[in-house]
Amino acid sequence: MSYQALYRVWRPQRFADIVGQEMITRTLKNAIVTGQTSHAYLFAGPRGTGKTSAAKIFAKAINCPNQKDGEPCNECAICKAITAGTLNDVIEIDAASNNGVEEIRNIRDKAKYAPTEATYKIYIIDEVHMLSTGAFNALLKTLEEPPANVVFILATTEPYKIPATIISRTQRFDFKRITPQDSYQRMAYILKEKGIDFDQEALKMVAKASEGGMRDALSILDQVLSFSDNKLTMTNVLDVTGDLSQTQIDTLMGTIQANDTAQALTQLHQILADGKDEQRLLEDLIDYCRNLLVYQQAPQVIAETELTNVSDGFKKLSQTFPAARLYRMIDILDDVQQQLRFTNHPDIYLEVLMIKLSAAQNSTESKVHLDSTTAAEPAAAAPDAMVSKLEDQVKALSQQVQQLSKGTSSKPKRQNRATTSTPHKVKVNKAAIYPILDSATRQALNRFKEVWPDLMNMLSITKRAVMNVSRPVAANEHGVIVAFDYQLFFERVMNDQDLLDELKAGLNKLLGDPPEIVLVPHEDWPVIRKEYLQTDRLKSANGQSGAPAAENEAEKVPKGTKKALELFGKDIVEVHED
Amino acid sequence: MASTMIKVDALNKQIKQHQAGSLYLVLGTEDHLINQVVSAFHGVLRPEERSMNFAQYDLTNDSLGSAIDDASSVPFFGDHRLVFLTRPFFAMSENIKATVEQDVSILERYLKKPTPSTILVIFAHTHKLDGRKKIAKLLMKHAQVVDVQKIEARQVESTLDNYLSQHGFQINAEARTLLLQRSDGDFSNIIDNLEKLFITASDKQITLPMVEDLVAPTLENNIFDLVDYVLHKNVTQALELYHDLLLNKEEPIKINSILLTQFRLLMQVKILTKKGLTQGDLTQVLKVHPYRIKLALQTARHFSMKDLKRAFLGLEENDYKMKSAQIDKQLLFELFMLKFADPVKQ
Repeated sequence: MSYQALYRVWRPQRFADIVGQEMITRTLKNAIVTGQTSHAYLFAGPRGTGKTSAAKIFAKAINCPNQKDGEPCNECAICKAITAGTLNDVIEIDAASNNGVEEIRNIRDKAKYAPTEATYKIYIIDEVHMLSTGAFNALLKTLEEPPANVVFILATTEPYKIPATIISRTQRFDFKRITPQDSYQRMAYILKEKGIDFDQEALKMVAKASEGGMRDALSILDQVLSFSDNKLTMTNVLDVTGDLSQTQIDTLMGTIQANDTAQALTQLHQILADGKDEQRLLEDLIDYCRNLLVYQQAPQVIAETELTNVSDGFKKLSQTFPAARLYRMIDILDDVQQQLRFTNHPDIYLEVLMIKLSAAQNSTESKVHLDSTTAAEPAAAAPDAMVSKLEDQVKALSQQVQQLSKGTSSKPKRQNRATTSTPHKVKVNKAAIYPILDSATRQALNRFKEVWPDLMNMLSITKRAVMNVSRPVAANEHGVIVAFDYQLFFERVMNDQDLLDELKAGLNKLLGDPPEIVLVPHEDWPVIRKEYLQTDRLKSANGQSGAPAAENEAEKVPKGTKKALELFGKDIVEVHED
Repeated sequence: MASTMIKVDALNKQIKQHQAGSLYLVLGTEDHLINQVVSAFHGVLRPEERSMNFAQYDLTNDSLGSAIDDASSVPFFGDHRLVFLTRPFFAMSENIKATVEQDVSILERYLKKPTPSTILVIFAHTHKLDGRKKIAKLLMKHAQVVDVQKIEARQVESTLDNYLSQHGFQINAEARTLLLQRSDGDFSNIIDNLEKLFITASDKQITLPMVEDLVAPTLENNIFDLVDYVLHKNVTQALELYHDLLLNKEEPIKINSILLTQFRLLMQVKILTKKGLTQGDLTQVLKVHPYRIKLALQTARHFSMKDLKRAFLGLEENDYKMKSAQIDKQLLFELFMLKFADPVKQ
């Protein structure tokens, strides 16, 4: 017998075999068991998610004399005939090639006759969105007054192309794309049945490459198996998909990150020597940069789509690559990708690319490693590179100064408290505080102070009790910093999203703009402000940034008062202006 | 001007008591109610009569003359003859393409002197007939009008609850909200979807996963969710939804432009409310459907002008890039989302 492709051999024959569509198969089974089948179904969903399989199984189950719990027996003559496609009462039509009115009229006329062998006559119309308008109208007539004992199953990948009049006359089921986990399990099951060994990582790679279609997954698997003898390995898979291996790309990006141009070029030559496609390489690099960015903000997405455990190299890079640099790299990669279309010497462009990626950054890269939040300071476009470099340096220096001042501080007690309060479960969000302080004005603060009592009145009594110990201490146009007298309440409110939302909504009602609300415990506030002022003074020393106006409009107050404020904090010092 | 306006229940009663009239106009677009009307009328005929005493004519396709001829003839072996006329385009204000010209005077004559043994039912799938036309006036005057208008938004929920308890099903609050949302608050859609849910829920309990898997979200639903995710800076869900949309072969440019219009509306609403315009004013000024305005008002309240602006400009830039550069369209959206949600860049 000639070779049959995997996806044909392993086409599901029972509802239980269909992967990832539990709710749909359950509904179809229930419908058959309780005799509540509809006369027309619409199966919609991406390719390879089980639409046609479900339709054929449905045809068997509804006609099978030995049907049990809605599943066909697959043993009787009728089941076998349907599987082989020889039963006259189950008619499969590919609407892509039979899209005319004539074909549908033909169906309409024949649908009138009762089924010959089976109980129900089943029409399975695949790719139904390809029908012409006339054909749809003809079909609509049949669906409006369906003959008894006939079931239409329409399958499509593009449901929005189907007229609403048709959709409203069918029972619609939307097949979900198959998660990599599900397709992995199914393939693992198939390989086990076939007695083929497999490398787990390799199989995960196949599952990933299939993009939610079981048929694609099995086709790739088929190809890979065809040149691997009884063992599925990572190398085989990479050869078929043409992707770079995880380690290859990890090291390449690593060298770029380290600005090691020479090494990057060597890596590139090696990859090209392996016969990888240039376009593919670029796509992989863009993908990788994107993944790094996504990982920095939403690690779960990567874990889910990549299926494999995120490699250590990747994790390390996600921490060391500033987001701004990744955006720039993607821009560069995109440019090169377009240039590649018009050249006969792709390798030259790639070499230049490597140099650009690794060398161009030398100037902008400061030697100090910063944590990702501070490193991703605004610096999207290249002209800003200088500014961002300076800013980074300022940040780094200010951190050093902070540490120095901590060491020499005359008030060890308070400093201690500050340092011990950071490891608390709930952390003060400094990244959110600084931007507010940057543009803080007295006016804005007054605005918030004015409405604060009104806001309190809007809350329920229990919530008001919690919030009573709070008050706004600094604000700009779009945000307000709220200090809490007690650490306990601070933590409680930090964890109470409802209350935070309510506050935001309340302020929005009162002021017409929902502000950013940042909470701090009151005891930490002077420390935070002091840290900020220090950072800021350094900034102005470097000729950067406009003068800040924190809570007390620092530069307008006399020097002595300023010092006093710095030392004791606003809440102890009262400034009387005469 | 209508002679009588009756509800579906009243119609059922009439038919049960054998007091059916001879002219009916079924006016409205609630499919679920129309189905009830259809089955109510079919109740007039005995099953074996159906093939002889029932006929249906689509007036955009079939000639009115033959339909009225049919209606004028006497029933075979039965008391009644049932004739359905659908899509009477000549009495409607909607522009429906018809393949035949109809001589309306035939119907006019019949309306004035209907055959008593025939029940002629005209289905007008519209909110209101075109009152300027003579035939429409005649119809409203002579026929009993069966009211199948859309169930209004505020009644949908209570009607749904009634329907569920009639059938002995229970639904939890989250599932109910999602069902309403994904069905666009349209009662007929809800009923269609409930049919599936009833079959699935063999223990008469409808749960959230069932609704999630069986009730397909419309593109508008999805875009709405997407706007929400974007504004809430919910990167994970935004990206997942975007991938799903692409898998359903939605065009990235289309998604992008729908997002753009949505953000534009949010900003317009926000700016104009600040100037003191009410919901009603907004509908007039912006010439947008009131329901959209209502939703936009609700959403805009939660977000600052700054965020809306940022999102709008980012999407606008994407639109330009999608149409000019060769960069992967999916990547563009992802980059936009990441940049937008980046806390430091605010």
